[in-house]
Amino acid sequence: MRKILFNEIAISGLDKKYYTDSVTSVQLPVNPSEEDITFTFSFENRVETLQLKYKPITEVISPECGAFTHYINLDVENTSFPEFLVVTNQLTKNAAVNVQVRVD
Amino acid sequence: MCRFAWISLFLFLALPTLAQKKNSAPDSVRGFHKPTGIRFGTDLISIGKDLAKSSLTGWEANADVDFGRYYLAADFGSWARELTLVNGDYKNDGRYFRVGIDINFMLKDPEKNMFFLGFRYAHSNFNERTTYRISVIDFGDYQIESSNIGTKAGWLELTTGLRVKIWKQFWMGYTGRMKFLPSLKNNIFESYEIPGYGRTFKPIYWGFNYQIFYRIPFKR
Repeated sequence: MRKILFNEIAISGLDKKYYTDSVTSVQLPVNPSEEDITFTFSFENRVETLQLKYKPITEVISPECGAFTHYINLDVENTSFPEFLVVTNQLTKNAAVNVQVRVD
Repeated sequence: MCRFAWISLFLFLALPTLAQKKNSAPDSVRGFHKPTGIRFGTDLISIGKDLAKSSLTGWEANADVDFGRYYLAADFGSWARELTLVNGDYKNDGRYFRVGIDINFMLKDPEKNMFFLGFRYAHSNFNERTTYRISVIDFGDYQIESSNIGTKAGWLELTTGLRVKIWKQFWMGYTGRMKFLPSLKNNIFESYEIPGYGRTFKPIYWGFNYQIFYRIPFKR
């Protein structure tokens, strides 16, 4: 697993761009008001896209803890990466890896 | 609530007396018989909660018909809950019914007093809605609104309780119920509460009704 320096990561629905050092993984947010999102990765003079779909589910825990949204059925809808693997299809704050992609 | 407790105690004390007084009567109610009347009732605890303006409002109507020691019992109720969450609010509103059989163990009581065990099948049809705020890194703050419309749920109940004649055609009593095996079909979000049952994540729920009944005898 080699390290990659991303020149820019763009996320659909978000003006902010992400930049990284040389990394083997990145942690990215998803849009809570949509059921899919597209990440555009610029690195090593390449541009690759990864479109994910997911289902937001509302859960009410209690009056004291409130309600929150969790995301299930994560899947890759479209990608320009040569290969991908959905490791964990539920998005949680503690998930180690949700999606792996092969860049070479 | 304190008054209810005292009335319960009175019923417990009254039962042995009633049972002893009728000890010598012939055992004529074992097995199925033609019904002799229908009792209509309501749950006083639901009315009390309405008056106390709790987060839960509703009412419940009850009826039973005797077939000897067996009673065909049916309940119909309305349930609405409003909760303030730490990050929003939650509301539900639904109707439910229960049908089942009660078995009377006070066989020799001609006044239709009962100590019974029974079971029910229950079904609820309800709507629920929640509005809440979440904060997502970089996407900012969002207000999310989710609704489940026409959600259906079912469960089973084991029941026990008392019915004691208090005056002319009036009976009072209580029903304790163990509710279990809830099943429901979720729509948009995971249901928080089933009207008539309670919180969805509890596999067993206890319920209690304190009821007053009016009996209409059938003409022979």
